[in-house]
Amino acid sequence: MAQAKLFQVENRLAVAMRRPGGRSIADLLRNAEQRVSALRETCVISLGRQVERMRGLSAAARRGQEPSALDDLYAAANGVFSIAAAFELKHVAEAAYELCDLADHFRETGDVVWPAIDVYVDGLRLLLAEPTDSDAGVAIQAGLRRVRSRFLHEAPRAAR
Amino acid sequence: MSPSSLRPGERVNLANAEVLLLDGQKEGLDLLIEMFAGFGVHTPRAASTAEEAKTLTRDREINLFVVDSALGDTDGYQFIRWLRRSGVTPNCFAPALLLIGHTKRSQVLKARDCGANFVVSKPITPLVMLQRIIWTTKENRAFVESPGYCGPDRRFRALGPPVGEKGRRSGDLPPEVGKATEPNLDQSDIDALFGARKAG
Repeated sequence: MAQAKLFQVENRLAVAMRRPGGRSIADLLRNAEQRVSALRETCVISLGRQVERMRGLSAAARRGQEPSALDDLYAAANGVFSIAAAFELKHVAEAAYELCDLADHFRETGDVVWPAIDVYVDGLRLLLAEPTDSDAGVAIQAGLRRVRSRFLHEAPRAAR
Repeated sequence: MSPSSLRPGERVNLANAEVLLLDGQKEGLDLLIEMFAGFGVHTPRAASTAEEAKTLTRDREINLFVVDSALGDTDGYQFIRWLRRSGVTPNCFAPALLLIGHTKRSQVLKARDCGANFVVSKPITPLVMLQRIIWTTKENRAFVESPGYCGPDRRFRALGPPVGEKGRRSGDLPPEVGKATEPNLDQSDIDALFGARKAG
């Protein structure tokens, strides 16, 4: 078996960061959080567009027009998860993550149940219109999990 | 080092760091750009496809790669694997953070083996990102080149090879302790090792 070659490399990021100047970590975090927060509205609007795109993909797949629809839908749901989680839209993030689980499962089995996907996509639309932690949001999410549990028996991973 | 060990008063200078941000989703990329601008990075380099990122990698010296697993034309795992084998020095040795959202079952091992310094699970907040950046500057793992893997050593601690497996490295020792080749030290020898001695 070939031996691994191990060697030390210079960490040039550490070198760059050791230069004089800079700002305190507290300042950097405050600045970054402010700048990220300023993107919130634009990003939340983009989630609605992504959900509409998923509806289109599902419809096209059922008509047999989009062979890569499941992959594209998975990627879109993953994108929704990323943005929703970054802005603490907990229910939306969890539902998008579970939709990724479901799409990945269908991809593995090769047997796609599009109505189940549609329920999730519609659920995401409703959740986007709900304030975070509303009772309606909790109820929608419980309904979505019942759909998921028909196909996936392990519990969904906790929203992170 | 604990990832939660940031000291708020510690000064950090990212102004001149060359950072390449790679994300296939526009909003995700915007978020990273703003975050790094907030960290004081003067000009974050941004790319939404692996091809754009490869061009930037060849043209500029990059100090840190932040790569989302989902890209427009390929995936982040493949980009980091390319980077590590690219021969573009010193960039091929630069720290790389891989950002993952939902991970397909088939890609869990790819994430571990692509050559990233750290895999960071979303959601990515400024606090988490800055922790990982500082973490990468304080770790001192060796770089490994082997036919099956190229990147920072995946062994964070020197615990030797897994039990029951033969080590693949020349420094790996078997778990069994061999027979003694010399007589045991007697107590006076041991005491002498701990006793005060005159220097020089």
